[in-house]
Amino acid sequence: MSERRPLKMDLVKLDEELYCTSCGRRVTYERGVVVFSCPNCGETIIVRCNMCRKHSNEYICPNCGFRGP
Amino acid sequence: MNIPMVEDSELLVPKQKYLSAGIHVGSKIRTKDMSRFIYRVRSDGLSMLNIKKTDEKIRVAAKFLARFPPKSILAVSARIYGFKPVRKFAEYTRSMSITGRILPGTLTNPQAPLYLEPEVVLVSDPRVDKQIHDEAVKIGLPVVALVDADNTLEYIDLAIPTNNKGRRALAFIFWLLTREVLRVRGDLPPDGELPEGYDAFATRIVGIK
Ligand SMILES: [Zn+2]
Ligand SMILES: [Zn+2]
Repeated sequence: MSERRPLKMDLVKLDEELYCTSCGRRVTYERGVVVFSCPNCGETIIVRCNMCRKHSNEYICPNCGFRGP
Repeated sequence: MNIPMVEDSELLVPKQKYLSAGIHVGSKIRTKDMSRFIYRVRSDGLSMLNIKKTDEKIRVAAKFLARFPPKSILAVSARIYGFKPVRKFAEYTRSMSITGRILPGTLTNPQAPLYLEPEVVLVSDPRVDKQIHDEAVKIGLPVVALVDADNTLEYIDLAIPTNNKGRRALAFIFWLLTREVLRVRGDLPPDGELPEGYDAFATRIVGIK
């Protein structure tokens, strides 16, 4: 079985600072954080902090304007 | 009208197909999160989901899922009517699937009897599929979910509003998502059809008249 490589490792460098796409707060790799490419255009990286995800706060892609979730 | 004004040409399938599968028929219980996807409330209290939004989200979900290696997608349903649709989806898209009860640790414990390493999770109902949803959140995986009027959008990264309880509805929505994923990947031409209709995705009922 291949070694586990969480998606976020592929998307962001370890020394990169992450900011929540919804609230703008800086996030660390705590539980509940997720990083994925924009579901619609795939061109930008969406970061959602634990609180925004918990409260299902909207995120907007800065490239294509897609509104999630 | 139970659905918004929309031309068939704007949708992935003619609206009558959505309607006959009951995609728009949401639950009577409604959460605040889901109000954005509800078109109106019928006099019997059922929530009419906005199929324009369902259609739009199927397109986006297909694009999103198609960017992942097929084998890194995990589709899950703990609901009986979701078993066959999820298995069919996985078969056509070459994804992983789990139907039925999920053993704790499936995503989090390498020593678990069935340990899987997906990069994205697709659940048929976040409430029914809570075990896998919780584990996906714990390890930082994006979550795509079919959501009905009674779901919350808590820890869901991409929501597809749909009746997620009915036998025909689950068959249809997974059939449509399957077709779109294959079209986006180029496994089917842009207007290509699956070799089977959505009836083939439906759980068969045996022994009940
Ligand atoms: Zn946030
Ligand atoms: Zn985008």
